Amino acid sequence: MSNVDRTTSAASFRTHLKTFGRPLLFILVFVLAVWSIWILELHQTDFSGGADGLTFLYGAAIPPEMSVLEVGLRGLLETLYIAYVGTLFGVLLSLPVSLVASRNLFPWYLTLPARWFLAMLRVLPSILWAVIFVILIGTGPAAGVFAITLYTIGFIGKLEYEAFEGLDNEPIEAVSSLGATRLQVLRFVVLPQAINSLISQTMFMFEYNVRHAAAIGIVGAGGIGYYIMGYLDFLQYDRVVVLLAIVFLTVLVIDEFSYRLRSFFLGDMSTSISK
Amino acid sequence: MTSVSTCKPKRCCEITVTRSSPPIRCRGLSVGYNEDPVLENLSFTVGNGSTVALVGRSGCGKTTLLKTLAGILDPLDGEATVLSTSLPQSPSPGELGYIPQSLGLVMHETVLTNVLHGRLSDLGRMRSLLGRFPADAKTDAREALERVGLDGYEQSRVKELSGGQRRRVAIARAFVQEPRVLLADEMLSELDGETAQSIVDCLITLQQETGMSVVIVEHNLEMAKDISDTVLRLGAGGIEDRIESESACEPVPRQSHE
Repeated sequence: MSNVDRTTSAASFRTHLKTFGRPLLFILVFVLAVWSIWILELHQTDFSGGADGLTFLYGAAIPPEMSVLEVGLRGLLETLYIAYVGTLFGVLLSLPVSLVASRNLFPWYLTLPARWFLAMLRVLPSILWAVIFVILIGTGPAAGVFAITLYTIGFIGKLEYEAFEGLDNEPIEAVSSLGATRLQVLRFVVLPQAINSLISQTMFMFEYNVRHAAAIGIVGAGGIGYYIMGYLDFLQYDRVVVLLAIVFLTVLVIDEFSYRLRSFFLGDMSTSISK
Repeated sequence: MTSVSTCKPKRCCEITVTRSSPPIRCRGLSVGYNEDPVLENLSFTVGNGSTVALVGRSGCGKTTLLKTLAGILDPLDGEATVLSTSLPQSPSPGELGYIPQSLGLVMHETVLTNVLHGRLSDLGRMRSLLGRFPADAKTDAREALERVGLDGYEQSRVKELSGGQRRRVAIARAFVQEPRVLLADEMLSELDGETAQSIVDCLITLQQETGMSVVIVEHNLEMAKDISDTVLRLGAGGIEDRIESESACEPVPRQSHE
């Protein structure tokens, strides 16, 4: 009977929480927003110089200096190489760690350190990893590749273990009770079930890394960002705008390409209301 | 002690099973989740080659008991021996088959690969990594699919099959595995009469050939009586009723077969 009592009181507590919890949550979100704006003094922002600044930027950047197109494309190619190699290494190295980090596959004394390791890699954004590698091994694309790889392990590793934990547990339990080893369960049940979301995440990560590989050039880690920084230093905004346009168009193309590839693996994603 | 039994005239089987220790024996077993018992003080045995059906209302603990016998949940109290191994230790790889309610098939994989999962216990580490099954296992898997009426579906993905076909894939997996004990959770729910009968026929054929013991969870009492030797009606935290089926086999001396 004590179990029943405990269950009933827990259920009524949950009902109360549902009734009063939601309005309280809304109030909390609102109060925190007002508080943050106040602390940051956002309400006192001075926009008066903005118009002059925009006029100056427009005058300096338009018309764009198209002669940098060749330099820009060369930089872009290097950025794509950095993003590609960094994503590939990152995804391959993240797989074993993320499997061990999945709570439905391994005991807590293994999942916890694996999660800490992945979180540690995520603490720094790729641009700060790039700063560290530029200090360690000097400027150039190698620093960029290491930075992107490390950040990718941390980032996609988390997406992966969440995908593994979201898998249907019954095939895992059924196949392991047939006498399969843990390695066999990972190979024959977990990976085949997760492969589509792994491919989709890898495409997302590549697109993300192209943008970041462009940015890490700013600290000297190679790619198109290196040229952007150079032109910014000399206030040549008419050239900077061409390079930014190249990055923008590349991201658009990759976004579309990754959507098509994911549709190929996951099936048509459009619904009756998206048409 | 060794004795002999024949099985179920109703199912026209003529198999002879050498009875040693029963494959499943529970004494004072309590099962449940997170230290909260759902069923307590269960005592029953499942003999060689016999079928025990678990019936009872939703939430009475049928699946919990099955998962405990499959080694997925640890028993809370009491003793349970499955194939001479005391729970929570698992019996030798490949001796126990378990078909969960959702069948435990890998939906994105082909039918053939899912059936081959029944042979994973024979596969070495290198072959496992490469995902390569030996040719004889593949031949057996194709044969098993033929027997459950799914020849020609080898390369189809499981997610493309109907509910009844998926259940037959799970049975083909058991055919290939040839477990000594099969635990099946609601194999026959949500099926029309004809499909349910064909699944039962497949299961009986498998049992006749291998002499395996079966514990099956079934909602429908009539169906449960029809397919089993013993029906255990679960409820109120324990076994409410024990019904010996008319079709149950009577132990007969060996010479009657000779």
